Amino acid sequence: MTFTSWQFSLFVVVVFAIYYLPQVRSFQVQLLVLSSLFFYGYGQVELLPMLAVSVLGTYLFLILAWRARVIWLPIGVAFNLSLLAFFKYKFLFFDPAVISTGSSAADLLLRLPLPIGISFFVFHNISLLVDLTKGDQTRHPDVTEAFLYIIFFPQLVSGPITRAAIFLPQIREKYLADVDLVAAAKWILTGYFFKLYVANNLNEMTAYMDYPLYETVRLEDKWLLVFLYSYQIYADFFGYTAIAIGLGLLFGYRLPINFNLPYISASFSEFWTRWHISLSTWLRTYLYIPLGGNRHEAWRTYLNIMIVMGLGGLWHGAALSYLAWGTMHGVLLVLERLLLGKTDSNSRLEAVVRPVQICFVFFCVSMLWIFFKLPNFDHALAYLSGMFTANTIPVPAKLFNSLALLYSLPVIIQHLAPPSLLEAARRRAEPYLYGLMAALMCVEAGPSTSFIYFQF
Amino acid sequence: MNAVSPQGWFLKCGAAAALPLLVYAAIALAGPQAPPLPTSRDGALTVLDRYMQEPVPNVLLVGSSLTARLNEEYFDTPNLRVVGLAGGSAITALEVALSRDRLPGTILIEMNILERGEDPALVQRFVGGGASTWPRPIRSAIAFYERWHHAPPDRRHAKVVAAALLRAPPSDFDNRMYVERATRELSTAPSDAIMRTNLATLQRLVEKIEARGSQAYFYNLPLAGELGDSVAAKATAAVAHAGFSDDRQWLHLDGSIPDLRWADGVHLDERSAVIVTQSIDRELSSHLEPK
Repeated sequence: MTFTSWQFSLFVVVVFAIYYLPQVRSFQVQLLVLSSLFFYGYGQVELLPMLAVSVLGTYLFLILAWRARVIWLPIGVAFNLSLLAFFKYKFLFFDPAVISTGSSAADLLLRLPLPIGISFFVFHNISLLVDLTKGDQTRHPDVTEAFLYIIFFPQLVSGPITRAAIFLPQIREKYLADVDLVAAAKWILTGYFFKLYVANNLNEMTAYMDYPLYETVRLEDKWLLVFLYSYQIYADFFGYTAIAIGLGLLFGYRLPINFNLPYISASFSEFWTRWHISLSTWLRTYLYIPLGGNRHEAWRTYLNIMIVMGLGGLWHGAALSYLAWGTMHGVLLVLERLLLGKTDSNSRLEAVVRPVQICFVFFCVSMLWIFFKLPNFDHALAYLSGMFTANTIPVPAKLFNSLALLYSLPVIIQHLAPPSLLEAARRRAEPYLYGLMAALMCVEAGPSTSFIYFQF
Repeated sequence: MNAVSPQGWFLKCGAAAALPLLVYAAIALAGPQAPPLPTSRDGALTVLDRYMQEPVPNVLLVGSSLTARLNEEYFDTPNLRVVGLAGGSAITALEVALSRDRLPGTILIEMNILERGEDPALVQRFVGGGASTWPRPIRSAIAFYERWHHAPPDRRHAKVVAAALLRAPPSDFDNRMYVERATRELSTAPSDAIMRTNLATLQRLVEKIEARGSQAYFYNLPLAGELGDSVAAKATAAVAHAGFSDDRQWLHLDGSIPDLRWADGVHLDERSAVIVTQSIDRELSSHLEPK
């Protein structure tokens, strides 16, 4: 069930209508768990047992680690990483069309498709194990609370990745009067607007980046498409996260902000504090710092950065392109540390230098999205080389610059309009602006496509 | 600080959404039906919509993207329309053409691709009355601009363009990579069962055409070099000729013209399309002139 389907709208309305009934108040957690299971199982019911095994297994290790952390925490983490590795990377070793081990159970397991959102709920599982066994907790959650934390439907398939220490304290009885409905509506409207108007419309154009269509694209359009994909992937993922945050608020839960205008980052390290913040935070907390972070010699810090970014790339999928994407981001971070660490900041020059830095970071980030868009490494390289090779295409694909601009405009305005611009007037006009956004996304929505991050 | 109450906020937001939506709905329902936009990726919609909106021509060419390359302005034959559906088939185009009260007197059917059958969604859209499309304001505005800014050349101008193309030397575009890929793709025969099913559909449609007093002719567009002798091309031609065995119904286009070029091995480039349209013109006049 995707966020943009009418079935999902109906599902949310029904759950919301029941959730705040006084008679249900004592069972709100159970209601959300059941709703989340329904949400996950809708269309992929065969994967519900796998989800249950993942959550119950993690909960078992949590109870055991509560008593003997040194032994059971690593085993619990390994259990989750094995699940992730098995489902994410098994098709590197097995062809699903010709699997035959002689055991029907093993064949069934090997043929199971990649469970939607496994990368996200496995990270939630690990956060649960690590955060709650540190020794500063007075009690561990019961199994229903653990279930809710891991499978809460707004964040189940694509995050944001919420740390257990932030989510679990929020589990208590909820009252409708406490819900900031306007804030929730603003998040939800913004999310749908970015997904339906921006991302889906741009997707129609960036489909030309796929193999072999990119061979019909003119040189200048190949460049245009790279930047359009930058806007698209932001609008798609920011849109999803905004909807998730708004839905979380509707049910009384604050989910972490996942994006903070990433394309105005003046450095690569700043970019990673603004893009997919919950993943960056998770990787820093549970991987970079345990590896030693920047507490050792410089070379060790660089190695840690490369390990984290490489694994971060592989987390997205078992493809050389994802590894290259993560590794190249790692290289840029290391180079930045080496170079920028030696320059003095000059506030007088900042006004000139910062825009140049922003453009440079945006350019590099956009170029690296090519590896994201084309998981086949050969196709990504071919696309890249095509961007620097003059060609004559007899019948080129037709792209409309005017449409590209109009569909990208919300992302550009969001990033470039200063927050202080016409602040008072903007606040007064806010409800009307959200209303117009709603109208525009109704009449100008692009062809329906799934969220890009659903595949992870 | 949010000075507006939640009720006030939702009221204003709802009004701001509802008002333009109501105006939009009123225009969409009362105004003329919006044509598919040239900004749409699916060119088949535009092509079929144009065929349904304009007067029925005397001569109609139906086929796939191979036929779509034959610019109708380059033909000498008057009142001729080309309905080439990229990714589609002659069957879909024929189903739509047959849904109109009048048929063109002569219908030429491309037979290069027999493994593609009817596109039910397209047929339903244009034949089953499911053609209502709600306009998309931004796309409509851009489409209007594009039509105004990039209007197709008129017939006289197109003739000048065609003459200039013919005076120019053939393209030296290096299409080896595409030809190799096409050779791989055409190295296996399409499913015989599917081709025969589609052939039966075509036979049924041709019977209807002839029953309504029109003439149906068939043609194969030339392919690059060895692709014309590929397993797939030969298998398709064998099925097509077995199904329509009357040689008088076939146009014999000269595929051995050395000047022909294919951008990707299968689709004619612009200059070659002009040469082939002239070849079709000649064949048509020989078939249509009184015996």
